[in-house]
Amino acid sequence: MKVLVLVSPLCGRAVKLAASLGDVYALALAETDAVFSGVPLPDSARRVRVWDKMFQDDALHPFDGEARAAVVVAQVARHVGASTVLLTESTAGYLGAAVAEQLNLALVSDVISAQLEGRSDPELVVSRRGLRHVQTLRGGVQAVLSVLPPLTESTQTIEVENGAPSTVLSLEDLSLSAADLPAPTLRTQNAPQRHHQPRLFLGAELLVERLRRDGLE
Amino acid sequence: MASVLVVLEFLDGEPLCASLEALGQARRLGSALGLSVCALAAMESVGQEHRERLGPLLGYYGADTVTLLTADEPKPCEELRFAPYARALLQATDELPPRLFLMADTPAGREIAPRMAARTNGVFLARGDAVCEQAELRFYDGDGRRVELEEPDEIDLTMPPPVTSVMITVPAGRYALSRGSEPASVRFAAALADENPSERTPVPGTGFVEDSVRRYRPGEVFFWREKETVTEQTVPPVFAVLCDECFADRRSACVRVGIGANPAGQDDVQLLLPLVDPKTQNTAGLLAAVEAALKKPWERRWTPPLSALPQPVNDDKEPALTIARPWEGVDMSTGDTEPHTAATTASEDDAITPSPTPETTAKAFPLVEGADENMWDDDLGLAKTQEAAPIVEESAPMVEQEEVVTAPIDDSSEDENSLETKDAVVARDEPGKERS
Repeated sequence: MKVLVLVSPLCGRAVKLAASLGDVYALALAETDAVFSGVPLPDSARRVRVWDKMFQDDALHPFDGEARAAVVVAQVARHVGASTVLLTESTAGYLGAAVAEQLNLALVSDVISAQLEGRSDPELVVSRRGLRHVQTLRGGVQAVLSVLPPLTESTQTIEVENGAPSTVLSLEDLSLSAADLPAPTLRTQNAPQRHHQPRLFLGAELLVERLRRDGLE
Repeated sequence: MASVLVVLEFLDGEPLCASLEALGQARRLGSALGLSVCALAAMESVGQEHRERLGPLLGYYGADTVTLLTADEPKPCEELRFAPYARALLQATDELPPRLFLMADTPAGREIAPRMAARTNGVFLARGDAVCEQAELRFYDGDGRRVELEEPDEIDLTMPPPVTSVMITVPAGRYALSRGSEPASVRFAAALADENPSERTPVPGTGFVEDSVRRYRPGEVFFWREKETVTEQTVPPVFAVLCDECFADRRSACVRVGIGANPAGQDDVQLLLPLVDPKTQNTAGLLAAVEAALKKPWERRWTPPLSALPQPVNDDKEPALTIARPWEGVDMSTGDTEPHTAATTASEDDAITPSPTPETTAKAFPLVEGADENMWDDDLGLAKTQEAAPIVEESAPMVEQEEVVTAPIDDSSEDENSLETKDAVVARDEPGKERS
């Protein structure tokens, strides 16, 4: 089974899950191969890098940036024939949903772990962080998993061999053009204008009461 | 009429406080901008015994209507997800095209809101902000930057202008609760059988179903562990105390709690327990107090009781827009009357200057003031209102009194978001005061 994993900051958990599920295709939307350094990819992993100057638009709001990235990730998944796509939860929080929508696949967010069960007709068993429980879900292998980033990356020095050079794809190689990427939907101002201040609690018991009303057991 | 949809999450039949805060902001926006406020709730998460009071309860907190969503799956999930309610959610958005879609920033919210945005070609702002400024709806992203929707290049004049829905997850503690005066009408939304399946996938059987759930172990969902105990396998907690030793970014923790005046990760602190002794700067006592409070069994106060909820007067009456609390003394953008304190590293030389309170004349009914417990009073807080101030003053340590800032949340821009502008808006929207 081919598993596509997107290389991004704090993607260690997603990469390890991908390696346990099948043949890893590591995708990076980056200008150079340097992005692969430090990522604990298995030796057999194939590296795919896609770059276009349209990704370099700094004026894009992160939401629009992830909407564009989703089109490319989905197209690469089709290109390599990946069944499962693993992403790390993004800061804008939109990438996983957008990729799932592009591919018409199920999305599981807040993923902690995943494993395959069954040989002839394998199923994906996914553990997901919920509000009050760790939820175990069972479904087909064709899915998009949005993996929670680890609280900390490994402190061990990761010896990553240079390995084979990555396969570099352009938008044209993926049968995409600039017109296929979604136009920006948000105009943004650079300087933050609103600063949210925390809600103050006058005692520990009041704070705990509030946390319990939000789901803390 | 455009609408604000708020998806509520429930805990043992009671809505989450963070969900009610999102509903409160929707109420304020609805009253200011003429939007109807519709609360959506997963029917399976509201027990039969609680459904009868759902209309009065959510009407009390500001909803105009309540729609109960039915799941596709016969077996209800313990944890709310998008897939089982996808069809019902999409049907609700078809019937009530939302200008704004709010949901508390929880694991479920982080799955449902972006998926709804992707499915409906909307915009998703994680931990964003929707406020009424200059009599218009404005959006800010999670970093506090104002965002505006791009106008489409080509506009078809023969068709009504397209409305792009904005989906926002709301962090706990950001907004104050609001109050409505009429019970909300309750209806059910069930997806039709011939509609698209939940996941819209051409491959059968690829949807996920809940297999089992496991309760969190102690310390797994909420912790302030030292960094050495955190490994790569540690499940990121839903609730995290941000100490110097513990780090949890926006992606990993949903509710970030600060302990002390200058907690680590202060930009992301949502709920703050300030220092007792500013000289020692010692947070150990506070941590111990929190730990002791956590060990105490929780006696849930079912709030508010039925007697406090608005009762239906005429069942045949069309649901009307609810009038929320008066605006006086309230931060227009968040509805806050409660104390906030800055989690910044301001030195002692930086005097905290309270912002001017907008002048108001009309007093429809007294405001509830004080700390969070007053949100949950049995009697709309009216009885406690007259006593609240001395109680808070007596119980609160002096340092808190000194550091409390009751000013509106800082708006650093100097033009349209200035306090003078807010005064004008307050005066215009004041109940009982004629518009000039």
